[in-house]
Amino acid sequence: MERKQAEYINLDERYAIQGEKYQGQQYSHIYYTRLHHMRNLLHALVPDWKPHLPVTTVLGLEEGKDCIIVGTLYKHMKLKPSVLDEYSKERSAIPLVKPHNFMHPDDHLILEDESGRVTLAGSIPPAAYVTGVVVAVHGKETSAGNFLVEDVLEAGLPPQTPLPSISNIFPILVRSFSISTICLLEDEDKYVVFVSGLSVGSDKFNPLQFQLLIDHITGHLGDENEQKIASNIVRVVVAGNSVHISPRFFNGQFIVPVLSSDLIFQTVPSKDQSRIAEPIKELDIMLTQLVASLPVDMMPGPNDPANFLLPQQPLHRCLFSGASTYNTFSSCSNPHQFELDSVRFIGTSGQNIDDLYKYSDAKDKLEFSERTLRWRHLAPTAPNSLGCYPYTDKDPFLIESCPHIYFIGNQDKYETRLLQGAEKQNVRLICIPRFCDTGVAVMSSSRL
Amino acid sequence: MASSGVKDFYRQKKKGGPAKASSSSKKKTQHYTGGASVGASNTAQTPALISHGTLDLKDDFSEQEEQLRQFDMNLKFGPCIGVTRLQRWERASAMGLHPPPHLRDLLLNTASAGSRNNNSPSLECLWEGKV
Repeated sequence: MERKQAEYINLDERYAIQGEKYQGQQYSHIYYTRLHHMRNLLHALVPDWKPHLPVTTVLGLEEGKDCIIVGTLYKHMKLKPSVLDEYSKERSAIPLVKPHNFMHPDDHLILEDESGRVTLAGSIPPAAYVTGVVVAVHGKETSAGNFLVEDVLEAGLPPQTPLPSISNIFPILVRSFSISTICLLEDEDKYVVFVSGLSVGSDKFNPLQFQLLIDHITGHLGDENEQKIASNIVRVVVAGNSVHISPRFFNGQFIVPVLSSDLIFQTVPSKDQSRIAEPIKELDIMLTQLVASLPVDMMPGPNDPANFLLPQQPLHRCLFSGASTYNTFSSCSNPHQFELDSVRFIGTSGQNIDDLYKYSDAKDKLEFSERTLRWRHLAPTAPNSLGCYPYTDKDPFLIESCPHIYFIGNQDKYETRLLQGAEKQNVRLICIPRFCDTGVAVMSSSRL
Repeated sequence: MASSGVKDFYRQKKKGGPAKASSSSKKKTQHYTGGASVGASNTAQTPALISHGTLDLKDDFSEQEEQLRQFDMNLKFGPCIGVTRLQRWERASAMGLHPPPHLRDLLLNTASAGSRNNNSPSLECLWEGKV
């Protein structure tokens, strides 16, 4: 039985930091490019939305006059942690133990462009928005100096190159001794398996579960039907948090081999040094089984040994001494963008959605993902509350063309929905649960 | 530099009306840049306290530098701190904002000219080293 193949194009060049040179710049540039790009888009959409109203800058507002302004939102949040809290004499409103969600009924939105800023009031709910989103608002300035909003225009889903049909998706549930996949298999379908939160090296990691998953994907399990399913899998995407290194190793000690007793640096004892590398070695061994059989994309996550700022750069090949010898192994950035037989995939390891969860409210994680698509920006809270590189001339998180499949890793549970846009865009939104907690990987098809 | 006389320190050129006003305001700023103690005499300008070791004397800057400063301050092209003027020009051009083309030539000529005295326009924005 032969495994199916698919044409793969990696689109991660926009996330590479290799060519960037840090000159000490701050984040004003990335906000400027974001505003400029989104404002051009919104200006093109305003005539279809409210054609008779003038578009003005914040400084050009006149009291009582109905108009439209375009700018970046800033949400003023009482409970947002600030580094200055540590130094304030009175520890009143802000508790030292940080809550999971920093929302407060007193939060309000401010719209800002190059000329100035104005507080927004009216029909724009602060709970649904975060700092960094660029929108157009229709309303008028009040005598109090606020801008009373009547209506809001978001950029909406970007244009999409159409595909003949929509995608099928189902979860693969891996329990300790069994695998169950509920699926309706079409003969010509090709499938991509998403898994995240493997957390090799943590207490929650169960090697048997991971081994079962690998055996299932590589076709070593089950009868002919099972193998048939497995032969339709063309790619595996590992969406972050593949290793877990115990926090007790991160206590600021220098890892320097002691060559002479004159060295005053403390060192990590040699038994601990090999202990740190163990989870990565174990992951490498298991990955090698996988890459021997089909292409694998490895994305870094918040707990992986990669840089902290988004976009996270691909994990280094030296970490995967076994798997990187195969040309089927690709180390990818986070966020990750690729095309498989002209089906466009975009996804992250979860940091963008988790940050939205801290600063805004929605009925489920999929709604956050939907909002990021409607705002045409993968991570609007970057750089405000999510670390990101201070680009000077571009904002790589802007979404120019609508993906067909949008995946978010390291979530609590498996969720999926088909989102339909105003211009017949179809996007499959997927939340990939943490494998160490749930034992669930996700298999998605794209009818080709 | 600390040994030069008062005349050198407070060098002024008699120019036309507006230029004179700006040069006198430059003189005010020079008065306060002389080190940690405000109002210190000319000899107190210790080298260690001057950023980048260059004098802040800019009352002699040229017409070209003035044009570049106007370019720096123009909000349309975005923030100026943290990028070189040429990078900012290229960025503005790539965004379709049509920055004045002669400024790019000016910056490229200055870059290739090599020798840089206080009179030639700077490649960095006007706040560089001061903020």
